[in-house]
Amino acid sequence: MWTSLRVGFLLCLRQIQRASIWTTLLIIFIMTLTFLNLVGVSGILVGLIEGSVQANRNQYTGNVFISTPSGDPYIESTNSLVQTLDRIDQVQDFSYRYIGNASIEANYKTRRDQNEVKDTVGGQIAGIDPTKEESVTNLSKYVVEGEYLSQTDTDQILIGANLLREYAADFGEGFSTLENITPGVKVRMTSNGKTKEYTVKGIVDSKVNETSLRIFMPADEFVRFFDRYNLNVNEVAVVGKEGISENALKNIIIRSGAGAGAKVQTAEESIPQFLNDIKIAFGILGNIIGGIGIVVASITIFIIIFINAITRRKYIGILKAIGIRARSIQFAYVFQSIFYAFSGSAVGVFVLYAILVPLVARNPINFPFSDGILVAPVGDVATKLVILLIVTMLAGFIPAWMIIRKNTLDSILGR
Amino acid sequence: MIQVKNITKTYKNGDLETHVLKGINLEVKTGEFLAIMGKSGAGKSTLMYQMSLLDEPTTGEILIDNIDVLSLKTKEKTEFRLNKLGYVFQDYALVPELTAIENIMIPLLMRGLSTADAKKRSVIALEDVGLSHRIDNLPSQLSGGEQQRVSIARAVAQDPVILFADEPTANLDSASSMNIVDVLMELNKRGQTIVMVTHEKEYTLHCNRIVFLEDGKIINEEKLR
Repeated sequence: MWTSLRVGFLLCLRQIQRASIWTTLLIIFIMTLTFLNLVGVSGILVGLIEGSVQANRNQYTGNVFISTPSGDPYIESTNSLVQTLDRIDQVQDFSYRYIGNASIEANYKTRRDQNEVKDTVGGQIAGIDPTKEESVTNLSKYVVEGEYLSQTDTDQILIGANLLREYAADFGEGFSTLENITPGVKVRMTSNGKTKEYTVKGIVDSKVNETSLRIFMPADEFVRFFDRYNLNVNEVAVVGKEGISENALKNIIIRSGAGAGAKVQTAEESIPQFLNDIKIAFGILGNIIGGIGIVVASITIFIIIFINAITRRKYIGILKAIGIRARSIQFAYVFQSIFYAFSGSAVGVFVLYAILVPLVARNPINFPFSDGILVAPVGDVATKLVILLIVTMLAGFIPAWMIIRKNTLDSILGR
Repeated sequence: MIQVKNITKTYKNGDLETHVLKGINLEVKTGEFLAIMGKSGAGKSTLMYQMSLLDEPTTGEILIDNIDVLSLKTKEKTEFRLNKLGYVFQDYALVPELTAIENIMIPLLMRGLSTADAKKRSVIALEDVGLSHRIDNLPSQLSGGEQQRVSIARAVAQDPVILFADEPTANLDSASSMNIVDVLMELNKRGQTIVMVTHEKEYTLHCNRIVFLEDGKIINEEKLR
């Protein structure tokens, strides 16, 4: 076997060395495209959803999301929850949020006629600790106009861009929005018969709905306006320390008792089911497209090796005549296929990790509900690379086997 | 050495049967230089292909060193060719991507020799045919005569029991042809058994014996030395 491998390798090496460099480069280029098609298409499709999941994690849920169990108005014993989270070493930071519903009216100052339609919108109000929220979700980064909240603000709010006509035009006419809202404009908030005037301090815009469809105010002001004097919050976004998995952190929180009376989920678990379904569907779609790519690549390799072997049939016959084992000649063609597939994949891996992944990370694909990234986990890419190598090995072996099994003398004489 | 016993070869093409060899009996002794001659279509190359295990006769028996070679399996035949037989083809039959020395080394490596040993033997073989200065040349960089000498070097480097040469001078000018015949004669002087197919009488002068074929039968035999 070793001898056959050695002779096969020498034959392959010389065939590649003495072949036209342009032909070799073209084949490698085809294999590179195949590899990129295999990992890139599914990577982008999954990345569209993964981008949304990541954005959700970074701007809304943190690594672990603690929320109100369905049917409850808030998380009971929030005080104890907060104290426990403070004590857990693996927790880097957390941000609690009070949630309430209110209607916002915009044109009450300019409306002359009492019959004129009120410019109102119903929205979710989030009472936050601006410092903690900033630490967990970096909310100020998404303030596109005006300024971020400060701890001492009492009559100022941030308003989500999707509640404003100027930003949400793409959503269509079906959604009610406020008009002519800019920082400094006053709006009126009404909830449970209580009304108060607030100044819009800033506008937040993000592809995460929980950010761009909410109105943010400092927690103290929320407690006063909504009479939430029991200080029980509705959600807590927890960020874990570097190196700890979300599942592990979730389990630690549950074991500590902090999750009692609350729903504790990892970021992945907290995303809407439809996003998960789309992610799976896109993954399957990507694999189908990649699979077609593999079939095309294997046919390409098959044709290349077949043409190579058939045009060299005479020499294959001569090699057999002088005693070179069929296995050695087959190895030569299999090695050649591996060389093309491996070289193409190596270039593909370089293009993927050195160019495409950073490029798409810097310039995410603009998708309506996410900034799409290119997802290319090393394990997944390695698996696909191995599949590509195996398939091309077979694609190289079959035509070589077909030609080699022909009668030696017929091969030499070209019969 | 070689005993060919009543072999026939018939090619079938649909209903058409062509009898190329019609009961050939032949013996080649160790150290002999045998020439097979005949007109085109006489069956001389076909006879050599049967004797050299490149083809299988329709009927008959071939013994080489008392081994019934026709009973060997395909893989065993390949091993037999590798270890016992050497070939020189009409059109040189060198692998175009391999240099002169690599063409010679390949079967030696297949026999399990180390690269160093295979190289050493290949260099000696090339020196023997006067091509030590062409070691690293590709076949395309060699003249026809030089390519044929590399082909002979490839065959003899394996130290074969029998060397088969199928019209080795057919594609060469007369000077190169004489040179090839001289090389073969020199090998025979050293004890190499050679079976050569040719249709040119002038290149058989150094042979021990000539068998003449016509219409698939041996019609005459001539002892020269």
